[in-house]
Amino acid sequence: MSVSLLDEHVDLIVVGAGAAGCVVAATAAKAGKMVTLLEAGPPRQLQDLTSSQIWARRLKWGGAPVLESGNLPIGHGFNSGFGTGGSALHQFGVWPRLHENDFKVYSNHARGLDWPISYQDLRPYYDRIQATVGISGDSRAEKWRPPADDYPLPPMPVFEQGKTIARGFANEGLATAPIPVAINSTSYNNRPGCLFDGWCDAGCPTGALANPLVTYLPVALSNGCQLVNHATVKRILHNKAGDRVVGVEYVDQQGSVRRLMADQVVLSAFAVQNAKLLLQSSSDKHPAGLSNHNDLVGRYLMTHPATSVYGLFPNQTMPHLGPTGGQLICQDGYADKAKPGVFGSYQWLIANALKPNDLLGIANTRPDIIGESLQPFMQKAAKHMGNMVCIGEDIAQAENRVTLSSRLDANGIPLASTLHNIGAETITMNENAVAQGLRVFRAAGAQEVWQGARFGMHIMGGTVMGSDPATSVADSYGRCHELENLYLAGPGLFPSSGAVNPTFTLQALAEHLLG
Amino acid sequence: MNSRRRFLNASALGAATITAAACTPSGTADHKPSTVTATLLLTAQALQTLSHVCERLVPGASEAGVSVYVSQQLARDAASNLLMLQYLGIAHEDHVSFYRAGLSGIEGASQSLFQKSCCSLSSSETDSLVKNLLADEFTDWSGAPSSFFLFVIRADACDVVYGTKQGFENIGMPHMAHIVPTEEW
Repeated sequence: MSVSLLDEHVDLIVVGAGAAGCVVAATAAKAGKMVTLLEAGPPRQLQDLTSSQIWARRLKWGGAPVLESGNLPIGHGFNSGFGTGGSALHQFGVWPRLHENDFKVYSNHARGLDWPISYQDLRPYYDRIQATVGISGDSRAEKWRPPADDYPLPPMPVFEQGKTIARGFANEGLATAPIPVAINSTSYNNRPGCLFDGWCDAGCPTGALANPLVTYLPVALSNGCQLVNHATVKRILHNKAGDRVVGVEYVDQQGSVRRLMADQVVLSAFAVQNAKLLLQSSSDKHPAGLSNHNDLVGRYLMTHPATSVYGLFPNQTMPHLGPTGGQLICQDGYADKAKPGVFGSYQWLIANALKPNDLLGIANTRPDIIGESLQPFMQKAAKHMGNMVCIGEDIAQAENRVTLSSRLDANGIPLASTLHNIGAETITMNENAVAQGLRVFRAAGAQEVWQGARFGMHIMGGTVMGSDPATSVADSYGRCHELENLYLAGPGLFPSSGAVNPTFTLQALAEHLLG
Repeated sequence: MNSRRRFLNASALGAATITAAACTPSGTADHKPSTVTATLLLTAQALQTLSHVCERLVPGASEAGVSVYVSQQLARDAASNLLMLQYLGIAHEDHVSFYRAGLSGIEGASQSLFQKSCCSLSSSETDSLVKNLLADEFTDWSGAPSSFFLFVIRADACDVVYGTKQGFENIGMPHMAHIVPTEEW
């Protein structure tokens, strides 16, 4: 391994070219800052986003392995991304907001953590992002939605799968609304409308879905931001006093170690990698890792416990149509987080577009069907299947954490090791939600219903924000308590998970960071 | 001789590498042969076992080239491998040993149950073997549970049988591609 320590200097280094990093880079570059965006993975272009669930796996995590344990592993390989755009390149574009009660979980329920800011503090940034990116939805139909500007785009159409399942919700006395998605229902801001063909998970090459390649990255690049791919940051460097960062060391595509200096550094490498970078940058001033004198870096790791419900209906449902993230949403009961023996809000994302293969594809929903029975099942399901997924709230627990493993990667850097468990109250919440979902499907007329396994969807926490340095890693602007010019961005900052998809919130937080 | 058999015969000769272009599966009209050279990481017997069991799990998997698919992907680095296994908590550096252990375990289970190689089993015998594997009933099985291993290779088989344009059409689902991949995998 060669070492090149020419001290090139920029105003701002952003580590990670995903949803949060691109917002930060775009805003800073537009403000005239000299910005370098370091991305561990390869470049991505829209034309790379081929319509294949097999090829789509290139978009998932391809860096050093992340070790996982616990009764609900975080699913890093599935939930993370690799390359320009990060996990936002394969996001489903479901963009509900956190609710007001998600910000005060500890104060209200003596569980988990509070945010250092309220929904009202974050609302202007949600509204700003929404106006820039474009969200399709029906704000009036979403009776659960916190106070917010109306959506700039009309809702996406509801196809037969959605209509069929909606009848089940209605029969059970539950409401549904068009799902809020960062996907254009019609053209918006020079981006086209969606074609409704269900390839969101493989990455949307048309520009209808608001991935970073068509939203913030072009703004960053056109304002002079330099994007460096295949740049794996090895450590963050600080001054002699240990109170300011001065730059980063990274390994380039050729395996050479390079050093880049900056006035400010923003880590936006997703929840696990942000924590890992802080931990692996230990020094004499920060022996347990940067900003970790209180042993909080890596802790409060969260993932949404999620389970899908499936059914076969007598009518044709056309399950290949619409967004992968779903056509409808139900957040009935979201406000009631705590009941005896149960804790956590949950939401239903209803009528997700289906493909035949892959982890969430039709065939793998029924691993018990093998041999000659499989083809008839696949043929029937391709026309008559319905599905939806419940996404539940996780409770931030200090024991759930990212640590450094004794195993090393090819560059001699320790691997990240993650532990994530959920407790009885969360398990019961998930089980109750699934039971409700099965009732809904029967009420919708499904002839056969089944459920998938519980899995971890989205990753949050690990470098949580808070008012008190004794209980948090960063302040309400993402600035590390112990290093005044080191900032964190992304879902790793979340002190609570809520039960909604995190991309909208993490982009609003990134805007909040920049003021 | 069909392409799959050519591939298997080539591996049986102990060649260290094979060219994927020489083992393009038939029956996949849009498939363009890859020029990628895949390092042979699984033995010929292991690949035959994989193909034989996958065929019973997902009819058509053998002809669609599941053993070629797995072999090719195992030769790729973490950032370009397309196996579903990368989602499932198994580190990339452990993928080869995962398949080796699982396929070796299946062969051992076959010998234990029927005193013959898995690839020599009749359809009903293979079904019986699969049933035992799905129930995690073999006490001398090592590594990941046999039911999990079967889940993974069934998913691999579903990828090659149903995850292509032809696969979509075979179940009556419109493919509706934005960008058709130049290779199926």
